[in-house]
Amino acid sequence: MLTRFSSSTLCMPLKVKLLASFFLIGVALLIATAYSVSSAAKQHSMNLLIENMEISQSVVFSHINDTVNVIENAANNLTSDFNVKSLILNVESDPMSLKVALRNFSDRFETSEFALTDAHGSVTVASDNFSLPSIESIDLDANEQSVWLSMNDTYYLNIIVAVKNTPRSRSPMAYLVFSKKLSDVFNTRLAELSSFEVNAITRHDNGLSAHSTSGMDEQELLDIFKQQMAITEQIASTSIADKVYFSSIDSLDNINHRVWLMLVTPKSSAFLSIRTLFTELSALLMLATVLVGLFALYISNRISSPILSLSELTTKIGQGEDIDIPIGSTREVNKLARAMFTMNLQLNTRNKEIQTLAFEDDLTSLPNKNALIRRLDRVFDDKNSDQLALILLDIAKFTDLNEAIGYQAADNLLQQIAKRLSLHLGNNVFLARMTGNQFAIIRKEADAITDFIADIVDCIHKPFKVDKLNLGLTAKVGYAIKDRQINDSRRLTQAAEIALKAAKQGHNPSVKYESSLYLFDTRKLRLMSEISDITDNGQLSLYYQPQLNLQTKTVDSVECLARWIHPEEGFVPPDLFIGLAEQTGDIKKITRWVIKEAIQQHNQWKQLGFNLQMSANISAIDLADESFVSFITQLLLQYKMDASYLMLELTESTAMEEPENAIEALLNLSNIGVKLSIDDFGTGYSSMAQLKKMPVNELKIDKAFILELSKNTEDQNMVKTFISLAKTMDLKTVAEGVEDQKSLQLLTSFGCTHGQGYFISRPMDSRSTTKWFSSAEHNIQRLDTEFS
Amino acid sequence: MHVMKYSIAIVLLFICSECFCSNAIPQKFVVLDEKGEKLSNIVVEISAVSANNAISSNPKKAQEVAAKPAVMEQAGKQFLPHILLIAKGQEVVFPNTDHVIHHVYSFSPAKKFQLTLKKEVTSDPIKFDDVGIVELGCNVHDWMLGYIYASNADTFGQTALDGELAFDLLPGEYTVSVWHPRLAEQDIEKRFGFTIDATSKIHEITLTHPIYPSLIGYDTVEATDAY
Repeated sequence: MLTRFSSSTLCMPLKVKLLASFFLIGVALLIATAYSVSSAAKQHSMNLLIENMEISQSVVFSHINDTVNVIENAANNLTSDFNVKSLILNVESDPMSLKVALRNFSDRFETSEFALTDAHGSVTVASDNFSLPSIESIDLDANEQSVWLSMNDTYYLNIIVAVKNTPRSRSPMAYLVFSKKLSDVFNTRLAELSSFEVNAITRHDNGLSAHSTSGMDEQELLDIFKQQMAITEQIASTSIADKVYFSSIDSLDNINHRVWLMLVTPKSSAFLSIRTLFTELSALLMLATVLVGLFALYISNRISSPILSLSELTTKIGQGEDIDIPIGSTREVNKLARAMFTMNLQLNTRNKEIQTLAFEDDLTSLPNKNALIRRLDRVFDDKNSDQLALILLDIAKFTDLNEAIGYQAADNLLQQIAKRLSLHLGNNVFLARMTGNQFAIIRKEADAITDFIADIVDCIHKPFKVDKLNLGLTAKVGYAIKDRQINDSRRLTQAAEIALKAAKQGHNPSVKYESSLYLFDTRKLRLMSEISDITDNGQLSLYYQPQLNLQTKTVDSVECLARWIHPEEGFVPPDLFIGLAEQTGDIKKITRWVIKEAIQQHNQWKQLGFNLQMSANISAIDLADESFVSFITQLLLQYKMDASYLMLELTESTAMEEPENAIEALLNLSNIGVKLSIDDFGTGYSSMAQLKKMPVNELKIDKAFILELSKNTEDQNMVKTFISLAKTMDLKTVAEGVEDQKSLQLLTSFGCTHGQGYFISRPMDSRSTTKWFSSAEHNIQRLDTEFS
Repeated sequence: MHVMKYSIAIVLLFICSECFCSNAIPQKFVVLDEKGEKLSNIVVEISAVSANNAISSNPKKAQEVAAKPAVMEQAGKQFLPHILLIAKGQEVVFPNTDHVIHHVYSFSPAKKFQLTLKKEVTSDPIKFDDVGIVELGCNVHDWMLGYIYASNADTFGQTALDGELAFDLLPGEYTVSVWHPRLAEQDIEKRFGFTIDATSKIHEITLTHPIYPSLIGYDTVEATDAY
């Protein structure tokens, strides 16, 4: 969960990536646009500002020039008047009249002061506040009609007009000066001409002063002026108390450079139009951003959604589902989709091939073991099926058959079996071939399973025709039914296998799995690992079961039975541990221990006065042991025992498995005088011919025939047959499993020589047996009484 | 005081001229601008350094000139001549030969006067007692400009169109000065010294300053004919 989470945070979805990329590019473009537009607009605005200021300067200059021109023209007209000219040029004769006339003119043209000079510039008549004594020093060139001069710390624009004798006279005879106060020049009319604040800055002997047409603070203006003078740019930018001002200056006074025109505008009003532009631009860019975002979303969707649907498609392919080609709008995606579709087709084909290889048996075309397991898994996954049985079927002795008829015929036989089974079983059950001669059936119901199995066994038992042979087959069946413990396919299979194994080992054609079978097996492993030590660590002991001579009514022989008492497991059944010992090879050790013990016991009892025949079991492995005979010979010699008192028992199946070898080994034993017995007689397939050749002295009739002998006439007939057979071969007969008196009486009447069983005595340890023999007379007596 | 001095000088000149008139040598004067071009209509005043050798027969001596009133005519709405050269104390009459009225005036310190001249009327003579330049204007016609130059030199004249001015002068030391409205002050104030011997010579007076531009534009005001 953690890794999935982290991977999802680390790897952005394609859609998000595309979206982000498109959006970033779009926004970058917008920002670039905004930047270039705004910088261009700013530059443009600045240029516009410069241009406007230049225009405003020109306007102010031309306004001042107009003022000057008006006064000059009027003054020229004035001096052209002969009478005025007479007054001027004859000033010494009537200065008062001239002064009054000039005052009149001065008032008419809004000039404050005036003066008349002679041809050299010396003032002859002047208004009261006109403080200059001479204008001689003023070097007026032809183009200058006016000059800014300071009088009594006030600046005046002085318009100087030459007074000539005749208009064409070369040199003036006098000069007239009209002085207009700076504040009258920079009046509200001038302010109205410009969109900027129009100001005049003047330099005085004691510093600068400023005059504003619009009432701007003088100190602020001087600060702006100083800032402006400090730089070379045309437009100065000055910050005063959080406000930024743009300004430009131009000298009004080209002679003394003491008067300047200064235009000022607050930045806010200078860029008023650009602000509106920016507001509109921002709105436009925001709209564009939204559009870019939507477009990016649209594009990324268009690209990623076919990819997502292809991804879903691959998931479907992975799950083995059938797919259709999605038709998208992009050629590349379509190509990919087609490729995936083709891939899916090829995958399906290959899957089928693999499935065939993996899940089908190529000989019988039945499902194989893998298919079975898969089917089981599915059935277990299906919660609706509560009943489930797995039946394993093994064709008995198939290996032998294989050898007998050849592999090809055997394969043919297997095919026939498969065919017959599938026809017989129909589609209601699942039939599979597990291994060589093993088949499996899954049945989804557990009812009447024994009948079902019996039916199958019968079906197999009917003859098959192979190479002109008619073969009837025996099937061993192990099965398991799903229950609370067996709740998955593995356990069910294991259980059925255990049951089959039990069936193969036992006499019953079919075995149902019981939990005991399973426990048995786990115990086995433990026992096998410990079995080699039992002869040394005292866990193995010898028990003895008396055999009653039915003719003499005396106990003249005992069977020695090995008992393994495990410290934790307790009593280990001899069938189990003998089998295990045969597998591990420890059987030889155990047999030798048993025989040595038996001989020692025989010796003890002989000294006590009981001369009993000792019967001990040997296995096929012992028979194959070449030193076995000499071992016995040595023991017999050691304990000076009569060899005829030692009876070695061999099971019927052991004896008949490899009769030739068995006969040879038995002969060797027989040659040293040891008696031999065929144990469990009646369960195997004894060949009378072989039996006849064997140097045996005794037949032990299996307890399967004896246990219910008193009730079962069939058993009685069988036992009778066995006994008469033995008689003809001059063999002793020992009936095992005698558990009631009636059976004992019947056996006696049949002519059976010996009886063995709980009715006579349980197997007992050596001490109990000794005690039992000590009171044998009594026991025998009791038996007698019961006999009669 | 001035009058007394001049009177004595005139008397002396009169005597001398009687004595030496036959010995007067023809001399020529040219006025050259700073580029060496001859200038016409330039007033040239010549005075003897010492009274006894100041003799001239052609042009007339100043006192001879002064005896007769000079004429400054208003013709074609112009002053004619443009520059009237007179001897100090000479009288000038202002005949108006135009069919329009003229109002001639002068505010020059040398002579202030005004004359209202009806058409085709000649004024009474006006005497110019002071030496100097009298600038004349017409209050009716702004473009009209004329000069009366009252000289107290021994003899004077104006360079002709060829730029030459001839004098018959007795040998001796003379000072020469020039005047014209277009000449620079410095050249006007300059005094040139000449020694006249028995031979005829062409005396060159070279100006050091450029002359002022011509006022010719004024002279050709086309509209004037309409008055």
